[in-house]
This record gives sequence, structure tokens and C-alpha cells, in this order.
Amino acid sequence: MQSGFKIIKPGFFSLVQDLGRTGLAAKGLSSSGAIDEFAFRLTQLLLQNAARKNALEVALGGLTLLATAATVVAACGADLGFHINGKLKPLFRSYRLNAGDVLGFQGSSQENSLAAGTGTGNWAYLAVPGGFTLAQHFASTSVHSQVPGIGGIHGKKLQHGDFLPFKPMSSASTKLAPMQLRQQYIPSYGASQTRLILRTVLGYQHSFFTAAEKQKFFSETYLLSSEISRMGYRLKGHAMHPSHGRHDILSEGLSFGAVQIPKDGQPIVLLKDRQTLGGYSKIGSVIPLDCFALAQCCPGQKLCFKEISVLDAQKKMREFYAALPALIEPIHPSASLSLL
Amino acid sequence: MDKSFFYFEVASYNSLILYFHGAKAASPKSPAHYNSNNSTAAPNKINQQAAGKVQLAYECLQASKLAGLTELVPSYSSLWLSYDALHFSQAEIQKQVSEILETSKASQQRKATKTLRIAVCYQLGEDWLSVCRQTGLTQEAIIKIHMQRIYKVYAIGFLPGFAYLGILDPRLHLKRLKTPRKHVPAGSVAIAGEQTAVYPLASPGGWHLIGKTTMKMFDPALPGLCPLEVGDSVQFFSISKKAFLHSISKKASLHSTSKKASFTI
Repeated sequence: MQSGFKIIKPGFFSLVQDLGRTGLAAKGLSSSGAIDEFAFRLTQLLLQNAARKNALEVALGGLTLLATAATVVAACGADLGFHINGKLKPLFRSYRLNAGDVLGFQGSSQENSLAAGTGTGNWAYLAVPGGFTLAQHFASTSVHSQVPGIGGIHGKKLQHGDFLPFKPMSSASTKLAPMQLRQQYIPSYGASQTRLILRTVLGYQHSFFTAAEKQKFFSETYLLSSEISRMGYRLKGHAMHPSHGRHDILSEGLSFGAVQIPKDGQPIVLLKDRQTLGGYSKIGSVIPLDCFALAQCCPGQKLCFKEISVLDAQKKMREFYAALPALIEPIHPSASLSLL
Repeated sequence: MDKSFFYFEVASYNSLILYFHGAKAASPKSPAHYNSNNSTAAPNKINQQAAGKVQLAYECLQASKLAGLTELVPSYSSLWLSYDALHFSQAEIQKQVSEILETSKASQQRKATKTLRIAVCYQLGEDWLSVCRQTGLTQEAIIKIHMQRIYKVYAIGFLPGFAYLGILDPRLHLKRLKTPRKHVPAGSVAIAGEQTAVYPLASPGGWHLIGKTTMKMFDPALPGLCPLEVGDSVQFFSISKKAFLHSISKKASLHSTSKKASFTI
């Protein structure tokens, strides 16, 4: 039998994602790719995978998989009730699997936590050594939530009866030591009552906004609305208004993290599956690092914008990528025994 | 191109946007190139001078293979670009891009742009009644006017492969629908404001539907994803309903044979 995962239950919204594709924005196709690149990259690191390998991005849970062969998996991101053979397992670490093992994300606690506003995160990642062996479309296997026919399996979210093939265990993957994220780096995904800071580079039409308006933007507390998707997250709070009511502009290219101000003045932070062109004024762009954190926030999360210079933003991003490998550690043999 | 023709604005930590003016003296804060028409209809006013500069800049930067440049998005009067910010500074990229643009000349060897001829079954337009009423023209007259011009691709976006084509004859300029349709079928040929377009995928939309085509404007199997690029041209020609249906069945049979072929491999 081919080695891979048989999809017992596809879940509500499970997508194959990698780091996305570049070069097609001029044709109207945005990059797509893992919406929380932090959790995604950790998942790959735990398996010593190259960052460009793919993983399964799971929203809302409801996913059940059957392993047809032995492998190793790593799971990171939102707490959607990750389980192996019926037992709940901690995230942010890797596990050995045997043929016949059943795993998945229950997603049962999600609705309750949304209501309580505590927050467990939105997106979980599951990867295997070497990634899932799927055909690439334009150098990526990412599915685009807005565009059918690209990436994944038949360019769609996971369906009943799909099969996610992976490479049979190699001698290298047999030797993979179980790894975990160091305890102190495990993210809390908005469970705290403190505001999440969205560091923002001023740009685009920022000169349309008066100094007083910008000062409000960078001091007021915003709340995350319930309108969140892979395209973008809509915020609620102080309505931003450009001087002379210049909300509409000629359509122009949109960056990852761009903060668009539509007519009602409520900011929208644009994410991986955004449109490539937009005709609303933008005040600037949230740095990717904070977009990843925002992606995991649940509706009601308190947020605030903080200005950052381009130079500092680039420094932060370089530091972020450089620091990743040191965030993980091998699982102590005795600890791993008790967990396996 | 003279350096007074363009200026940079930051777009994000790793992207910049270049703005091009029709006029030479505009300052970065000048709203001159922004659309002053704030109504919901026809949000994009075409400035042909600016569009020509965008096109030249887009071609030159594509051809330059500038190290660190990762993506370009041309639009009406702007060119968005992203770069590898882990290895290149904004200052470096800005300097290199400026040099490339300043040495570019409108007269230099231009990339061959193509003219795509699109067969339209105008009979299948859903909005003829209202389009005729609003323009005060007959269906025959409107079709003739729509086919007469060769349109330029000013931008591609909204949906992958959705090419904004202009400039429509002023007699056909209509405001967008007050209430957008929830479902516009793929292949619908539409007009709004001074532009015309083909819906590449089924989607919501507020344009007036005047025909249908079987031409695929978005196809993941195409090497370039869609048959058009910014700067290309489009001309529409009319076909009968019979020819339209024939073209659908021909495409369907082609599709099935290609499927069979790949199956035997």
C-alpha cells in the first residue's frame, strides 16, 4: 500500500500550504501560503524539513487521518484538540507514528472558546518528513482559498476520500530524534487580556491622514471582529478617515499586512489570500511577524498599532528568521517515553 | 524616463510602490493621480500617459532581472514591487530601480505585446434591456461600438486573469449596478465606467453583462496562468449562439481526449 494519510474526515477547512508562490501577482494571483508562518516554520523545523516543504493547515478541526505507513509527524499552532489513537497530545512537538495509527484534530473546544473570548488560536499545522508528495503548481503546492484549481489535491480543500501521500520512512527519518519547542516559546494565542501589538510601517497613502488621525490610530485599542479569513482580518474601533474623504484611490498593488481603510473607516489587515489590487486608501503595513500572531487571534482580541521604521522592521524580521532554529530542542528520552 | 516622472512610497517592510504622473511637476503629496470621483461607480479613471509609463517601467524592470526583486504588480498609475528584505536594503533596491527607469527610453526595443481576439456571443448578454435603456442605443449599435475599438490591458486583478480593458467608447459608459449580482458566470463579457472585461471565474460582480465567451481567461494549466499581460491588447468579435455552443462542445471533447491521453501515459 502507498504510504500516506487516508482522509477519514476532511475537517471543515483543511488546506495544503507551504510558503506560497511568487511571480503571479501581476496576473492577479496572490501568494497564498501558511497564514501563520511562525507555527508553520516550527512544524518544519521539528522534522528538520526545509522551510519550503508543505504541511496541512487545519482550521476549526474535525479532521481525522489514518496513517497507512510508519512516519513521524509534527503538530504546531492552534489548540484544536490534537489526538493520536484517541488520546489528546500536546502540540509543538514531533511524534512517531505506526501504520494503522489514527490521528487528527477534534476541534471540539473551538466554539466554546470563541464564545468565551479566551482564544485557542485558529490555525494548526501538521507535517511529515519531506512534506506530502503532491504535484506543484507554479513551484508550490499551496491551495488558494479564493481560487479553485491550484495546489493541494485538485486545487481544493481536503475532501472525503482524498489521500495525502508521503515518502516511506527513510533511514534518516528513522533516526530523527523527537523534538519539541522549548517551553518558554509556546505561544498563548491571545489568551491574555493584554493588547497584541501590531508593528506597522507607515506607507502608501499615509499622508492622506492628518497627524491627529495617525496619533489616534497608534494609540486607540482595536478589537478583532468576527470577519476573519485567509484574505484578511477586519478590526473594529476608532474609524479612520482620510482628509477630504479620499477613501477611493486608483487600484494598486497590495502588500502582505497592508492596512486598508474602507469607507466605514474600520481597518482591514490583508493577509496571504488577499486580492492583488485594491482601491481603498492604506495607511501602511503590519510587519509579517505580527501578522502571523494576528492570524491566531480570536474575535474580540484587543489589538493596537505601533509605528516601526522600515529599517527596524527589516532587522526584526531578520532576527526572527535567524532565531528560529534555536527555539527547538530534543525531547529528553525519559520524557519522550512517557509521552509516546 | 525623467526622474521627475515617478516617485517611491513605502508599501511594507519589503515592498515599495512607484507612482507615475501624467504631469511632470507633481509632488509626492499631490493627489493629482488619485481619483477624485468618489462615487461607487467606475472607481478607476484611466490616465493614458501614466499607464504608458507604468508599462515601460514594468517591461524594463522585468527585463533587468534585478537581483533581489521578487514581484511586480503594474496597475493604472502605479507599479508595486517587492524585494528580498533579508538580503537587500530598501535604499539599494530604490537606487537600482531608479537607475533602470532613468535610463529607460520609450523608444527602446519594446517587448512584443500581443492582441488577443476574443469571440463573443452577444446574444447571451443578460443585461441588454437595461443597457439599451440607459445608453439609448440599440443592441446592434452597442455591439458594433463594443467591437470597434482595440482595448488595452491596464491592470489584472480583482480575480486572477480579470483584465481591466479600456478605453470604452464614451457612449457606453455606465455606472456599476447599484446592487452587485451574487453570481456572475465565468466567461461573462461586461462593461462598467470606461472599461470592459471578461469574468475569468464565477464571482459576485457589479458590471453590466453584454455577452459570453468560451475563451479561458484563467486556466491553471496555462504556463502563464492567463492569456493576457498588462500592456497587451484585446479585440472582441461577434459569433452566433450556434457557433458559441459548438465551441463549448469542441472544448469539452478536446478536454476529454487530453484526459484520455494523459491516462494512457
